[in-house]
Amino acid sequence: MGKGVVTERYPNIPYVPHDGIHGAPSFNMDKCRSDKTCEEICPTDAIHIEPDQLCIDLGLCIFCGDCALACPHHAVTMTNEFELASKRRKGLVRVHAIKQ
Amino acid sequence: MNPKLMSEIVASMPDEIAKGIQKTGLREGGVWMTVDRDLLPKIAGHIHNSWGAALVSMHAVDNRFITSDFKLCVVLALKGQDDFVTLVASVDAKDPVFPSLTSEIFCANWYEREIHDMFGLRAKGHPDLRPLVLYDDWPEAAFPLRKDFPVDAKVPRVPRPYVFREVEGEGIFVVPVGPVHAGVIEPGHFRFSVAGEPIIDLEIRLGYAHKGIEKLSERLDYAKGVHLAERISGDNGFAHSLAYCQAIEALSSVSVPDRARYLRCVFAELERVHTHLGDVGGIALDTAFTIGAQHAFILRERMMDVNDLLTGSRFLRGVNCIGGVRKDIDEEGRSKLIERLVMVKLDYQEFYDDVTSTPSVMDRLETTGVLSCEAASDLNIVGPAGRASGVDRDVRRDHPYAGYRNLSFKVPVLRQGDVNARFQVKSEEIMESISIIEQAISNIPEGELRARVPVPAPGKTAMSLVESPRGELVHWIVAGDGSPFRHKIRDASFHNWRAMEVAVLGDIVPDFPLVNKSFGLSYAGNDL
Ligand code: SF4
Repeated sequence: MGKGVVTERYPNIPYVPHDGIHGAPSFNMDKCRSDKTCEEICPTDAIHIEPDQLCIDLGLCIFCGDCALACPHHAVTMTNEFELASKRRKGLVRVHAIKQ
Repeated sequence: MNPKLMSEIVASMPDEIAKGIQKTGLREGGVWMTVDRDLLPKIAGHIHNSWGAALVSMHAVDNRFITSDFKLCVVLALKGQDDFVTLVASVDAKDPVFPSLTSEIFCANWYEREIHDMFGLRAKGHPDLRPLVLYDDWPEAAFPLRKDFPVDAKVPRVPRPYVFREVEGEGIFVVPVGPVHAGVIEPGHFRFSVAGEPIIDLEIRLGYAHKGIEKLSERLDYAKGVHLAERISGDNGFAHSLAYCQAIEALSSVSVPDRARYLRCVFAELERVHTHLGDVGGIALDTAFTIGAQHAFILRERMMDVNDLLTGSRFLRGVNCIGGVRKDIDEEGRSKLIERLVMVKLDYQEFYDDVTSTPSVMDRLETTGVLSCEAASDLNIVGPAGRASGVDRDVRRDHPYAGYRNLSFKVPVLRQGDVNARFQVKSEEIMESISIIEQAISNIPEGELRARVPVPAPGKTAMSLVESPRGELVHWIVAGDGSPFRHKIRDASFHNWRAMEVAVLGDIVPDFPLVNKSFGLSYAGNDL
């Protein structure tokens, strides 16, 4: 019946996620043309594009990856980043400046 | 369905019932009959009783802005055939009443209460029309699924006491439990009446987590609806999204590539394995067999980890899409999966032997929470819970979808109906699922993962049934303009919760968590 130790010493020893997990989406602003494809496709309205900035609210994001699949300029990628907790609601909102 | 069968069904009805049939027609998925509202119970009852047809769903559609009436739909699955009969009756908007089906089909009870809550159609002759899913302080004349009820409406809170069943007698105590529980679980209220130790009555009140998912779906375009379907009931998310996608594919008459069909079977069975492992672990935990429970939870974790490895999601989210799947399994993934399955299979056998050779555990499992075959059929208990009581139904075999037609598997059926029977059925199903995955992954055809699916034409109707880990679930959709006009969802737990009220009778209150765990019920799936 003995199984030995199966738990891991996280966070003392960092957890390395599998490749291809759906962590936070990341936006490459050099490629972004702010054409709003991601904003329209997002099922939870987590992305807001204003004239000068793009806001992604990780409190709303469900990490579905639709934005990354839809972006015609390949500006969005799903990363392995999963440690996203914040003590403040605002800490979940990431703002990127749009390059004109 | 062949037209002969349709005329046989009609011909088998006595004239005084058959005269209520206004129109019949064959569509994909079986017969459609437009029937007279007053004769609906008799017609449905006849097909239910004489043709052994189980009630798959009963729901309403608010058609007032199209045909000036409400439509009432009753869907029955013909026994031993891959065919359905859908009865549609018109209910006058000015006289929103219909005769109750409960005297003919016992399990119509909750459906009619739900229809009353959500559409304001009253089932005349229903034995108990108290609210089922709406909050206690919901105002009386606000019906959320009516088309003129705005999705973001704020309704006033009107305190309305919910009247519970009263059980009276000398020495009878009432033990109310919940809706807030000691563990971090979802809310449900359980009211036990006990005479000494044994439970003589249990009343269940759910609906505390009702979220308005069907309403929400009506304004989400189809692609976004997949993500909503995945979140209806957390650990059965793949089954729900599969049923949703299949319904949309049927609406657009698109067939999914073979590779995607097989992959859908692989993922659906992966979901079944980890859900069942959680359930059997829970059963061990609730008999205080903690070591055994942890053993099962380790296996569950290994399966969820393999989900994560293959798809990037422990709960297989983001895998299904309309027209197929978004994730493929490559050669490396395949060998890792097979390796993991072999390991889990061997370890599961060890866990199973530990449980079944521990007399103090078996003493708790055997003869506890018995649900007779008769009660299970009357309540239309689906999935492993039904099969443990002798109800030999499984959507994968009876109405094959995805790639199940090409895969061979056994459907374990027992008759004892106790906690042990449910434990045994789930144990066997874990092994069967592993075998299905092995077969599917070894025979998976090459090809596309996804077909292009045009937007369905408004007004079309389609239904999809899926055998989720908890049992048969249904998505029934009328296409609207880019999003569903009506999206009826029926989770397995909507039928199965009622089994609890019967199965615990005569048992002691401390056995309740064990019986509950053995049914593996979902609050979220019930409280849409
Ligand atoms: S991952 Fe999905 S939910 Fe998150 S921002 Fe992208 S589209 Fe929206």
